[in-house]
Amino acid sequence: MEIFLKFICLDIQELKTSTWFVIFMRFKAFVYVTLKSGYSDPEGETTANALTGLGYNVVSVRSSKAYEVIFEASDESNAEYLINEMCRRLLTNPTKDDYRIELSEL
Amino acid sequence: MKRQDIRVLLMRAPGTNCDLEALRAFRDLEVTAELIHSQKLFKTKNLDDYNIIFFPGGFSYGDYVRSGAIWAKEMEYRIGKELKAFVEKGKPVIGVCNGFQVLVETGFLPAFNGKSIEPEAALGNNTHGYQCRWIRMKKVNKGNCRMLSEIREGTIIQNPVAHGEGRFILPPTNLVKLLEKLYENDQVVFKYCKEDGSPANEDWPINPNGALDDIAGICNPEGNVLGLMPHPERAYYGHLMPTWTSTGLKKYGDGYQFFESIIKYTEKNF
Repeated sequence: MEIFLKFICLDIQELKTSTWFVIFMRFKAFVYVTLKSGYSDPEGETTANALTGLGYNVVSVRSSKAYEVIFEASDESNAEYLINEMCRRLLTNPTKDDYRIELSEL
Repeated sequence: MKRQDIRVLLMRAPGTNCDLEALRAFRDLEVTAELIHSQKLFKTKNLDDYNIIFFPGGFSYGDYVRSGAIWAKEMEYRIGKELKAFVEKGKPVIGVCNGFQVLVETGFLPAFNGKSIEPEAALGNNTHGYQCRWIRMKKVNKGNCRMLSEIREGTIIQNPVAHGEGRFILPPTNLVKLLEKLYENDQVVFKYCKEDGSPANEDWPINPNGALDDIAGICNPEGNVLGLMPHPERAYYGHLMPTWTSTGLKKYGDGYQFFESIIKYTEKNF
């Protein structure tokens, strides 16, 4: 486990009276983003057609995206919270996307 | 406010397009329009100098992650406060195509309860993939979107669309309630329609992307933030319209009234 020490001070006054050390750990998250069921997926449909054309008995293809995110957090629960927030704010649009996370400590 | 004192900010980012067409349309209306790269604006942060902000179409940041997502989040952490203050002053903010996607991703649209942190709607994959065609849309707004008050309700406008992700959708878990709210607040501005103005009923290609209830453009509850998928700047001049050879050449096309209305509204109210 790689441990990172980071020095955090809230303001100049805090710096004078106390010092805080927070241990940060590094995490790796695989985020799989898929379209919610029922939404059209032209990329998946076109790919299915091409695979069928190549002679495979393909029933359907749904396209998805995967991200590998390496980030720092104070502990595992903090890491889970942060990666979920990242998903809701940027990696997915909650209106149309579902996501699944595989989180591991580095 | 005199027309020549109106200052329009056209934002540009890597991958935007039709910004020059929009610039030309605004300049033709004799206002001061400036095309500025968003990176430059992130340093100066001087949105107060402007009366109108226009987000053009295109594929900002190569549509990475999702259409408009990266530009929207960059805007949020670089000039989020300034942009929010601009909107709260009631000044017009317009997003066309990718600009509409950016306004949805930043949470300025539909903004049922003010600007949201997470997007409350989405402009998802078109049902028939990338669509580049002329469509008709009808103005259905009853007056909430005051910047378009010069365009009569029921007016049919012919404009081109060119996008792969423009299908307006709301969260499926709360769809009926949110759609009702959108109409209650008079936030629906344009709907795709047939030549006679009758509803497209989500039929392709009249509704080119399968948008929910044929919605082509919406505004926020206050009416000063407007987003639409079709490109009025590409139909500004008469010679850009697809029918001018049969109907005769006029100086201006259907997109003219869109820009003229926004400028007239700003002239009267600021």
